Amino acid sequence: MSGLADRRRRRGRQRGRHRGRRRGGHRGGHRGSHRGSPRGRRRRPGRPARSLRPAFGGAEPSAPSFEDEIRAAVSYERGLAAKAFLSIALVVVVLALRVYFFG
Amino acid sequence: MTQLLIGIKSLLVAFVLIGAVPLVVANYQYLLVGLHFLRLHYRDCEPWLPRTAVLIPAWNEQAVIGASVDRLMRLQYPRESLRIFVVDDASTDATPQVIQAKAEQYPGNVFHLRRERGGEGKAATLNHGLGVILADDWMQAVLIMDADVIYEPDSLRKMTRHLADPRIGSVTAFIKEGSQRGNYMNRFIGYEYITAQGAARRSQEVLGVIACLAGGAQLHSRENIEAVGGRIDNSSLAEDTVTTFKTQRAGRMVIFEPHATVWAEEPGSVVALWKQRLRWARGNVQVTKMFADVWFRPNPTDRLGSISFGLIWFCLLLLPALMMLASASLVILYFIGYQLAWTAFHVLWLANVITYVFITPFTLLIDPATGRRTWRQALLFPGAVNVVILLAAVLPGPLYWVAHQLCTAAGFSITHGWVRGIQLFTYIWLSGCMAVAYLAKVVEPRPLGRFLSEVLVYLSGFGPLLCAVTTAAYVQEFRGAEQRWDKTEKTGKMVAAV
Repeated sequence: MSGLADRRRRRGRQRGRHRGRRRGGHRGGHRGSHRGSPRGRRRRPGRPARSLRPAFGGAEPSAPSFEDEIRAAVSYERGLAAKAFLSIALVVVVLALRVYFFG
Repeated sequence: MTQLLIGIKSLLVAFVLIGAVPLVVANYQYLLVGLHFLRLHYRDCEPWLPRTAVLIPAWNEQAVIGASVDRLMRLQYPRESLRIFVVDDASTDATPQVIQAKAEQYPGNVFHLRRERGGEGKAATLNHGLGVILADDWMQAVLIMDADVIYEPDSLRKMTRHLADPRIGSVTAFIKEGSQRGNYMNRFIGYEYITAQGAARRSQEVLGVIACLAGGAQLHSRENIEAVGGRIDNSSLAEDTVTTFKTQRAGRMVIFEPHATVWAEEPGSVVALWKQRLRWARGNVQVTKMFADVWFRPNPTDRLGSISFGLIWFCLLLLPALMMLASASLVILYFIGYQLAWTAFHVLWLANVITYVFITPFTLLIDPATGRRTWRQALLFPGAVNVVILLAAVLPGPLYWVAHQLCTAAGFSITHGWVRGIQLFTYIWLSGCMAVAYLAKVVEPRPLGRFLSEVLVYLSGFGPLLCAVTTAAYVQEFRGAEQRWDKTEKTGKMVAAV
């Protein structure tokens, strides 16, 4: 019984960690997993450290941050998958019409 | 004799079905667009703003160059990290004066480089500028663009963030047709650019290879431009494609940033489009020959030799030839195997219907803002006649009923001879539409030509028009015609609109 409770507690902690990562932004979530990865990515010399959060120098505080922009772009690209699915559904409808009604 | 006839018929059917291969490949490409989110490079991006030199080749660009420079100076980019080098290729209009005025307006940011002997093409002009830029070590990245291209304020920084990853050699942006109130041709191009850039480049990125950096928006890291020899190839008409291939051959990646938008003024007439696309198509033929050792030879450094990429490249290059082959085969089959021709045509046209129904709405959804402006051209992209044939393939019963009603109202009935005549016409039209598209180019400069050529383009289709240009490019290359840098005329109409 106590083993089950332990497992639940552990799972809960893991979920919390994932949520935190998501709130922290897409890049935060993914970068950790790639830093020091076998792909051997190096930091380009002279490049500022990651503390540079604004998307561009002189951005107003209300302007979207770099992370916000990345998140919006990723979300748009994910939306394309749904759009592809919609278009495929349209093809299926047209073919069904052709076969069952106008064959 | 019977065996020979069966052999010939089988071969002809195979030729017709080969005509469906580009359609299958096009659908495959669009399926990959839906998977683009799996191959995004954003995880390795950082808000990095390297010292960037902007290189603009300019020959008689007085109408557009001033506004382009002004827009560049409004980029969300630190001024101390931005230098604009306009290489004036011995312009004979007021271009030098305009650039000089901009250099005085933005001291330390805008530089006027003058070539006294011009007319050697864009690559030679770019090389003049690259020589100056590479002479000192200030530049960390170079943005090569066209004089008429207008950058959205956030576009450059959205491109440079990819260069934070040293594996990336070059980044290109999403070029869109910029005439907000353009004519039918501008809207056709607007739609075509979603297919050729927004869709095609995304799918190529999924495959890990980019065919071409947009000539008007190519950002290179200093390391990359040095690795490709510090010069732009000037032996072909497709210098941007050659640079793209060389970058990838050198082991660096090329990235398409679809959220960095730049606007370009595109041709507004068939003749101007023909001139521009003939140069591009000839360039592609030259690149195919230049990189003959690349095709269908997978290697570990890059994906240029992958089967998928080879299929995409050659399907586009050989599309007109395949259309003509399918059309000619159908016509021969019509006379020697009528029923077989009809069946083969049905298979080909089914592939067409699937491609049209899948690709058209998806393309419009990829860039809804452009889609709202260009949906009519999207629907008529294959041409009005082809759209009717597509409808006949999907709704044969209702369409026959409409035709029957119309004929009855006109006082004659549809006979068997009529049906066979229409069938023969559809077989011929498969390649005949390219001839009609060519006619649109021929009639345009004549009286009433603008109107007639628009009608002909709508009838034959914009896609067949591009195929006709590619055919002309084959012929020119085959004849070894003189290689000319026919510059697309820019009027500055887009500047006002944007």
